[in-house]
Amino acid sequence: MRPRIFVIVLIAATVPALISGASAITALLLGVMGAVVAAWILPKSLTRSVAPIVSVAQRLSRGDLSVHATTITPEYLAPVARAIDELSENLSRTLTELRSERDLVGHILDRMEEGVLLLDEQQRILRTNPALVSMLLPRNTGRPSENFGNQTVLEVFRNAELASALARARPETRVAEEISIDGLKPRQLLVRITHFDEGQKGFLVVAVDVTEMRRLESLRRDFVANVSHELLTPVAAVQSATETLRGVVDRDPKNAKRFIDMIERNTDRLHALVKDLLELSRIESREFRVIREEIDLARFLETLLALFQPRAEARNIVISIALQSRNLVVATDRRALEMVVSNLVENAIKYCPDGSQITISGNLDSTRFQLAVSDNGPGIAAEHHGRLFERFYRIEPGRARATGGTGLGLSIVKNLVEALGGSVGLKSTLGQGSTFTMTFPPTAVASTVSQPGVS
Amino acid sequence: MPSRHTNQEFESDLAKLRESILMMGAKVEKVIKASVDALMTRDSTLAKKAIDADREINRLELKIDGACLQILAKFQPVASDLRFITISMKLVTDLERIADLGVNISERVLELNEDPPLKPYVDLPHMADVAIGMVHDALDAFVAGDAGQAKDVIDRDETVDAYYAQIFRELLTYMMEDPKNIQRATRLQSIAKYLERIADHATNLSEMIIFYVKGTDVRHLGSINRAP
Repeated sequence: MRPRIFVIVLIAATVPALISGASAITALLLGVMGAVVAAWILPKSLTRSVAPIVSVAQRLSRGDLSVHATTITPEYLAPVARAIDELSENLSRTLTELRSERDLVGHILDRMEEGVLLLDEQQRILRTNPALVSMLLPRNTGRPSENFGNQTVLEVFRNAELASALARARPETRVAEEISIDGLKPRQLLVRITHFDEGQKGFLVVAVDVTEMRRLESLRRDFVANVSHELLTPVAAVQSATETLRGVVDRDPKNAKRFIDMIERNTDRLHALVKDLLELSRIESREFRVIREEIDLARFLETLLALFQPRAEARNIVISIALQSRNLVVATDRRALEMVVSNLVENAIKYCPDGSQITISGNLDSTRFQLAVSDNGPGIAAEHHGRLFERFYRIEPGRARATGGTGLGLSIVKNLVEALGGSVGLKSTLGQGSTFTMTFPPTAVASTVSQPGVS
Repeated sequence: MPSRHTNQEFESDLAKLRESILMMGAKVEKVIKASVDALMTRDSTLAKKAIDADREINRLELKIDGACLQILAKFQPVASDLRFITISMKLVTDLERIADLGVNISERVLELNEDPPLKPYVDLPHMADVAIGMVHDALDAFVAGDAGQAKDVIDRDETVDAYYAQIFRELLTYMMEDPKNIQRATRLQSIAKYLERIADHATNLSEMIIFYVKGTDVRHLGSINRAP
């Protein structure tokens, strides 16, 4: 800066000196002296006058965007000050936008159900989210995800499967792999790893919990296998019976009747099965419409149980009703309740030995309505309790088919009771009978005359 | 004084070694967890899987040993780096033994699954929990360089020993009750012994981690007169 000013002053001093001619040398000398003095003084005053702007710029560079240059600089530097202020305003706007964008991304990551893990090339954690931490560290003692900085995946999660999957990830190949997390509640995670090379090199890991999906898949597989098997059995029987019938119908009409009976029995079975399946899918798809009406429980049960009486008597089984009061009235769907109670009583008769006792009890109070079907039959081992209400679940596959059930009864019971707003539970010990209890909240069976009277 | 280049190479070799040890640790944990799960759920497939996983762990042991020797020869490290290399060689030996014991558990599970269960397991799952937790926490202490946590692991060894004594007494009563129980009871007793050995190895891991962090040897305290 200094030499340039010196030159300008020198020229300024030289021009008049050249014009006057005579005192040219004196003028030149004066000019040179003036230039030297100016070269010393001018920069100092310039520095002084731009000092406020410099300090504003310095504060800006330190990140303090609240300062303004226009208010503290002299008039003749106003354009510079304005330009700096404009710059700082732009900067602060951009910063605010970037910050809110960053916060937004952070909030999204925090609320995502998928686990996200961002790693550098050395597999050090750059960023993660709570979902991922709770997936990989089910027993995490509340360590916030920000504290993993600079640690590697193996150090933090110590999951060998994830580490080997990462080792296999290359820029050109995406890795998608399922890893299992053991523990009290084993989980199955689907992990997708992509290599990224945008600004920073590293890996992006996205993890999805597929435990429930895999469970449902296996349920569906089981169901399809079960249905096919259940449908095929009677069809095969019908097929073989018709085939035989074709051969004997002319020669041996007496025997032919046996085969016709067999066909009839099996088509009945097929019919029952398909009917139950349709019923179940109707209830499950929520197409089942509950039509509430007031039901006098005592009369309802007596009428219904009369249907089972002949079969029960033939085997010396006593069915009794034990209601809290004879005037118990509930408002619910008659057909659904019929189906539920019939299914349970039917099962009890089917599986109890001759001479057993079956009791149907009902209780209504201000907190709930309970209807229970209990027997003193062989009971059900605890290991089956959890799966008993599944479609086609059989405790003893052979025996159940021999007694002629479709394997869908309890599943229908459960779905119907739930459609009516209640829940069904089982209490049973091997050798000590079983009790199926349906519990409804009072709102599900509310009726204007539901208060039990004095019997 | 090593040059800058070799220094970087040294750091990177150390980091790789550390990652390999953690990888091996993770696999070892998985094997013992799977073996105990296989025991509880009588799952033979899982037990076979655990047995198969051991081969990979043995391979890692050899790899880590080789890497340690190479670092020693190439860089001749001193102080805490030297301690790190020496304990690494010992850590992998113990880790490998822990995996072997896991495999032993799975082998017993396969045999046990051929017969109906002898009895419901009461103390065994608790004992397994403590032993597995010790291995896990020892590795945590290694990651964090936390001598306090390593010390805590060593203290828990007594609990496991007490469980072993208890389980042994209980199994004896089954054996005395009916000689037909002896075969299954001995298998269960072996499993308890394996768990007890796993806890011992976790104690070894912790002692070495304390040595690495603090530079003091806490093995065989009070039983040996050391030369100063």
